[in-house]
Amino acid sequence: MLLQANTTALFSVRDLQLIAPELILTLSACVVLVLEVILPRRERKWTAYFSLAGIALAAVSLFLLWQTNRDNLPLDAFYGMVRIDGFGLVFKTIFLLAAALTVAISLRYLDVEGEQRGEYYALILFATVGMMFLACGYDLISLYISLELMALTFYVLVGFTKRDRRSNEAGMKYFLLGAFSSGVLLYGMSLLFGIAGSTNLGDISQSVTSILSGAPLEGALAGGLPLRPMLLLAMIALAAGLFFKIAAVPFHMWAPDAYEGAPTSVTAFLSTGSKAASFALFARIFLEALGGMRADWAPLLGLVAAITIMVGNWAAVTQVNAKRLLAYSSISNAGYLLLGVIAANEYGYIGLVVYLFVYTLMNIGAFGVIISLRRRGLVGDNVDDLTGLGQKAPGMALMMTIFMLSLGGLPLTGGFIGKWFLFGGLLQRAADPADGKDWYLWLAIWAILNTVVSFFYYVRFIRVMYLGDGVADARPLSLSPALRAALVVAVVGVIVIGVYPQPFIKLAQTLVSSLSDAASGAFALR
Amino acid sequence: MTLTGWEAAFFWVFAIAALVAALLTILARNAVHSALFLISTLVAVAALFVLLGAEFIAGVQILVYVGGVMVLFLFVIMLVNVGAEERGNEMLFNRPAQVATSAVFLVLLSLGFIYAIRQGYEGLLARDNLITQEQRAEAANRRHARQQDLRPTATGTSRLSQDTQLVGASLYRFAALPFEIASVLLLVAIIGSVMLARTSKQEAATDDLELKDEG
Repeated sequence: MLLQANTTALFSVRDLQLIAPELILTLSACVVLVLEVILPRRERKWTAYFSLAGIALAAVSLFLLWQTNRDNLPLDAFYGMVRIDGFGLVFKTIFLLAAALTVAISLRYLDVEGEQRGEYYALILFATVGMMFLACGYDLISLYISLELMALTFYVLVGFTKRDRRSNEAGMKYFLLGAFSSGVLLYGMSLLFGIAGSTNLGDISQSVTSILSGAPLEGALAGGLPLRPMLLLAMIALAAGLFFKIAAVPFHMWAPDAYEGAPTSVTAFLSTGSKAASFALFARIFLEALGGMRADWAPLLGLVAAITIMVGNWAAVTQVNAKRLLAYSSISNAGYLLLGVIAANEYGYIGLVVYLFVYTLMNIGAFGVIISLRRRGLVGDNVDDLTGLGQKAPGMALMMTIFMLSLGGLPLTGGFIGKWFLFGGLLQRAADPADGKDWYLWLAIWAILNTVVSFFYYVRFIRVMYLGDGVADARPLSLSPALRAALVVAVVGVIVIGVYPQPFIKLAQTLVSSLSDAASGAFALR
Repeated sequence: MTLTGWEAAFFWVFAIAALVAALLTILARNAVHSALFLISTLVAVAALFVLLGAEFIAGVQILVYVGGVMVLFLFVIMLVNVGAEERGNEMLFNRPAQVATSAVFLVLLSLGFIYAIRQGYEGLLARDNLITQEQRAEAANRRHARQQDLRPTATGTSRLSQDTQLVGASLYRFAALPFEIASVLLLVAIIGSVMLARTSKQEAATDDLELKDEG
């Protein structure tokens, strides 16, 4: 890599075009920062509207990027630092959606908190930039830097409401544990670099397959120490770091505290955007770089997924605080999503992206409803605060019902489609003659059983809203138009995907096919 | 690689200086003295890097460790009150359990170190075909010949290596994108730290100013 420096051009215009959405978002974030200073205090809300415009522009450019290049994907740019493929594009769409919904529900929340400041929206945009680079990074360096960009932004966002002690505590906890997990992840990455001799995921994938095949190695690796144990160590360190990021058991302890203490709008973004981005990284590293090590990591991931699903669901049953409950629900959802990575076949990939898409909609929607309960002098984030919402605001209660049923995975909601494909992928893998082990089947059954448990606490919300005694807070809700719009978008999305999922599935199928090619290629090489 | 002549003399001077300064770092009672000895160690190690022909790493060592990390160390020493051990309260650090843990760790570390050096050195020799004397002499000749192609330094006594050039080229070419993402990262860090560190009073002050502007 060092010796190829024979051209003078740093990068071409084409490279810049390929990352146009990210560039637009970065620029909008900078403009938002300037607007925050220029605008008088009462007009500060314009920073939020400008951020929404920036996100919309980025979405348009993302769409154009896909339209112009859809036939020659994947495209590499910046000397292999970035790979534009269908997998990255679909994740970028999820991030943009999550960011837009978050900005929309934040407007009211920050008003109530008296923290309406432009930096917040700029930070949301910067976090989105980090996520988008995370989805298209194809090199350990760019992946790690983008991960840190996202994580650092979230450390600040979680502690954004400085005057709230819980927010401070959450920010501190999240920062310490996040920094620690980044260290573990980096340790794994450096080991992987040391073994493979390259930071490019494609090169790593080739080295890994050749090491595992036992073929004699060339160059610096020849005649050295046995590399397989080192490779296992690297894989375990990477897995541990990523388990932290997606909040999988046993590295989930930060999630309930951070989710509860963070401003509710940030919790919504943290539980969807950050989780989706971490899964993009997970899939990139485990399916593309370490695709050849499947026999080693699949049991590890399977075990973690089984425990995560159990702990998340069972711990959620006893929670009183709605945000904490949703944190445990988000932990269990990380377990479900891991099933897609474990299955690593077409159904699994479709399940991964469709479920993440739906999860973004329904989770931000649920947090949006919780935000709508908040007013000055009332925190409103206990499950009991929803009491009587069915009488007070039937529309809101109906939307919350739909979100909860979808989170549980009831048929005719988006959550069902996602879970269907996730579990289906696992069953398909179990029936696969090449790699059909019994435990795939048992894992799928275990996941389905635990889904039934999850209805227990999702239905609790519904019961409280419709059958609870009296009304928790008699004052009518005051909703901002943006919050209302975000909730409607979320609810419509959840229902449309649930009732008529075919176009989404077809789109997901074409977009994730690049990943299945890469993974099956690595498998075939072996 | 065998050192001869002045190279050998410099190697021994800097190696011993690094070891002595490292020992003094942990033996000094005053924390500021420790920090200063640590700086001497790092400078001596940087000199060893120069002897190895790794000028770039030597430069980075001085800039980052001596320049950056050590300044942070000194700041921390100044801000945090480290008094107990200066006053000679030895019992603070000499409990049996602590001593035993350190001893175990020391033994493990030394064993690992010795193993790594033996294995690694032999492995390196085997990799580069340097097992017999002739092979080593030939490799030394090749190295000298390569060095003759490089440009001489201003003093004319040694040659410039191209390491720095190569590092720069790959940093600003192959790693141009991560480099730019890192700049966004730093921007976020600045915004975040200013935002979190600003007191309510300061915020109110800026807001009042703006309100006055409106009126």
